[in-house]
Amino acid sequence: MEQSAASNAKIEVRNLTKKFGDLLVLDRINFNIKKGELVAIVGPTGCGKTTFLNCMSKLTDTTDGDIFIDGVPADPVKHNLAFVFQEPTALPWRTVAQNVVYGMEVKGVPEKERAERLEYILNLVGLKDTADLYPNQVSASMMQRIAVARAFAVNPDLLLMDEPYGQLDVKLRFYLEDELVKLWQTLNSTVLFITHNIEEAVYVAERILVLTPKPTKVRAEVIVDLPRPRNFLDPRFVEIRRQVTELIRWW
Amino acid sequence: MNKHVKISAENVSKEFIQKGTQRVPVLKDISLQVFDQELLVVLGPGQSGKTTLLRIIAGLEKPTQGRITLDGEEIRGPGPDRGLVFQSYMLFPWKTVEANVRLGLEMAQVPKEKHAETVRHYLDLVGLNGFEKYYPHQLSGGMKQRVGIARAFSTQPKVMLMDEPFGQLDAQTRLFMERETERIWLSDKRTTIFITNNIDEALLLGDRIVTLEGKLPGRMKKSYEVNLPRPRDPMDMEFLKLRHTITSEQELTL
Repeated sequence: MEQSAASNAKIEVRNLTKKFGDLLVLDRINFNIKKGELVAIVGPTGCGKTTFLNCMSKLTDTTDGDIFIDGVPADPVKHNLAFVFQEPTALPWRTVAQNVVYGMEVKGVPEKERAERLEYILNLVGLKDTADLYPNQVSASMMQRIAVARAFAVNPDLLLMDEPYGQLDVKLRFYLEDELVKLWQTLNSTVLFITHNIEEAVYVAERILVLTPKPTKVRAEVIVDLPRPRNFLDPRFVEIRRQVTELIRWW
Repeated sequence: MNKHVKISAENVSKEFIQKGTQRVPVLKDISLQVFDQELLVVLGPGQSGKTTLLRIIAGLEKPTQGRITLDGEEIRGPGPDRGLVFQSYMLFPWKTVEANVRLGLEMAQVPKEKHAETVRHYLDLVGLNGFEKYYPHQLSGGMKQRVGIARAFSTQPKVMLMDEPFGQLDAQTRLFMERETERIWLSDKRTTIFITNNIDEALLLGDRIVTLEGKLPGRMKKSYEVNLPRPRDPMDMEFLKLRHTITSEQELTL
């Protein structure tokens, strides 16, 4: 590895390739994520996004290429990789607070620090009042906030988010996106956010990577240099949204 | 402009009885008119009673209070004058695409000699020619919903009732199907009630949007005319402004 590139990037993806038998799904994907950066990934339907995420989280082996975190090959034992899934995934026998703390338990965060961080993050996402409720007593959006809080609480090296707000209505979506941006800014986390919703990508991300259909490559990179909080009625916002839409619309 | 009222709901309320005695109010005092050849979108969050409203219009449920009329006649049960498209497709898995559409014609007692021609016409309209002999499990979600749309359109109902038909589709297929629905509706104009919780979908399709308030019982909130040229562009400034108006008048339910 060249040292110059490594010094700047928290995450480096090099020639990431995945084949299932003869089927090439991911074709030499290359990109970097800086420390504390929020990068969104968008792509057409069926572009191998699930495979891509599984490779990024090291749930699936890659055929070729690798992922480096701080210059070292990514290793789920050594590194902190957090994941927020599309469907809410709370453990039904644990309360909201116990669900949020779960990630820290798995990662072996010392008890005292665990309690402090839990308190801090519950306040930050406004889950304090519902801390003692069980998942079946809270709404679907609340469940997704639990998953997001749980993921941020482990101070991950890389936080992967798989379209967590895809099914929610616009008003709620903007609210939760604001919450996500606040968490990300406050905790200085490194986030890779996957979505089908281009408006959402432009709203949250500093940079958007556009993927091609299978075999998947990175087709383009779009910088979103708009001030925050962002306004979806801002003509420059709409212009970037159009630009990204055009990049995808050649399926 | 003199608009002919096709469907009229007058003070409709609906309560369900749960666990024997518990009354659950689902709809409260809904009054609403749908005009001939209008595409009316009912936009509401989950738990606003919107599916129940559609089922009452379809005649699958009876209102607890109030009444609904179609062409001035009170609705007392289901009938071939109303075509339904469900969220969950509702196709018969052991029947081919063609046979699923033909079933609608059989139910509506369309003369047999017209079946082949009608089935072909509507499968053409939804872009499924070549797939006549396929079974539902061989089709994608978007294609399954097209079969449902062809089946509902083919009996020439006076009214189309569509209950979140694209809720299960991914964003890209969804946009494509919304465009298709608009195209089909423009080429074969029918009074349509379209239920959704997706505001972009509502603005792409509706001549008018009626909003329901969340949390049971569902109540009517407001009605918005959508005076934007078709096909509509979801990134057009007027589109976005109207979306902003509608969302800012809805409450945030966490």
